[in-house]
Amino acid sequence: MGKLDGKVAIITGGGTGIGRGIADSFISEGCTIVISGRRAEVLEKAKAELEADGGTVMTVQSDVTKEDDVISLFKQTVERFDRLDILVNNAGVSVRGAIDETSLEDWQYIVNINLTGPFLCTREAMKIMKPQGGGRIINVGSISANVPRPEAVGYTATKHGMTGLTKTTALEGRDFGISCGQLNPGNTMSEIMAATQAREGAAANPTVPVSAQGEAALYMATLPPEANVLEMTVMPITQPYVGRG
Amino acid sequence: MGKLDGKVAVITGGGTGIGKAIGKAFAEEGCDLVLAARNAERLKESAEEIAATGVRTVAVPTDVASEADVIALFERAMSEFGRVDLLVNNAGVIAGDPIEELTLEKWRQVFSVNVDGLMMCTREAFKIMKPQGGGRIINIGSVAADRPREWSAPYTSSKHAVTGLTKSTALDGREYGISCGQLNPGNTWVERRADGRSASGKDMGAEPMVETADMANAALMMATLPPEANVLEMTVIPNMMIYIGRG
Repeated sequence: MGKLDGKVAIITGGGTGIGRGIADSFISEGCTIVISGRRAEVLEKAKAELEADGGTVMTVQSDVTKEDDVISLFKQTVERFDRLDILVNNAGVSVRGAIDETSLEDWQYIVNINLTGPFLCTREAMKIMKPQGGGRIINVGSISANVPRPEAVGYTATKHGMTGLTKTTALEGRDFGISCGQLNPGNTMSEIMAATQAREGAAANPTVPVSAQGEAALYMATLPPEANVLEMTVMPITQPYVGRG
Repeated sequence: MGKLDGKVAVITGGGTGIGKAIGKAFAEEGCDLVLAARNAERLKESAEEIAATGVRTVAVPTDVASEADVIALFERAMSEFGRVDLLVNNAGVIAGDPIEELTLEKWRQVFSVNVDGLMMCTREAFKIMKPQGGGRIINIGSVAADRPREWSAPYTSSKHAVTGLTKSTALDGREYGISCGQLNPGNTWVERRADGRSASGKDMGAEPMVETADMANAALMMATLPPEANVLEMTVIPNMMIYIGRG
């Protein structure tokens, strides 16, 4: 018996990195999973691996910045599984560069993926969860929702924006049994982190495995419906974040 | 096999409420316990109830505001078990009045337990955990570490101070494998709130609540992470709690 037996979850960006870590932990508790992402081959590889120990995974190639894609993602989910219990807004990107060298194009690229995408997904999820009588939305923020890195204006601003989205979603969902919480990962060994380490060195960027974030999201997902993790920060204990030099 | 087999945890305020629930959750994963609380009778009952799960449980009547008591608590933990892997700084008191009526005595009483007590327990734990090569400290804060209720200046200020202690402890412990995280509970069904009144004593009407077991599961999740990972902060609240937005 799994703690998420009979539940259906959509995990955006579920093919790689933290999204994949969350998918692993959810499927281990019996959850039916829909993973979305931009790259079909990444999704299919993840599906094969996730289903190796049993369980049901549906893949939907989907760009969260495209309204039609997002609407289709939720439509396909309900058509196949009749419900949606959990949405994990995980898809996100990082663009680095000094403020004075950041193009409007780069800015809009990250805002579209990190903020507009979660908004669209949350809106479509609310349309399902309200009449259904409840649900849970887990937003993957970042410690950049609290403290910036150098040369990461788009990432920091969008992750701060996500905190506002989380609070608003929690407030608007409250009367409908819909809870919303934010998981703020510190350095986690994902593709984004690999790029950061390549840029700044591994020594300056200790990491935790994606499974640590998967466990955290699983904890959030398995609370009784009347309880909610409003925010949670999970990070390597040696990360410089906790203090100045 | 439990996730905390072979571990030893010191839990303050372990006689009732959230502390007792954390003790139960840890014990179910095989953790040996040192429970501390002021009320010796309730502490003994709590320890006996938890010992039924099969772990070793030691009850040490302790006032965390007393330096001698805190030192004795950790000496006892070492003489019984020879190590301390986890410290849960849970003991806390709540008191408040409209600010113009607040006595210095009441203010100091809250700080002596919620802040001084937490600091002393952390200090004594560090003396053990540093040479031992690591450990984990979990501070029980409150949503009051972020936002006040009416008539709660001492409590709110003390819980904000706990956040500072958490951050300092995490920073100072980092090089020694000692992690520190803060669990901020929202409204939780503990004995003293069973009348449904707000913790400050002001009648706010019935408020949504979560169970102490929910908080215990959160603490367990924090305690069972691999040693290189840390939940720096975590807020667990009733979904319906007013906290998330204005009316």
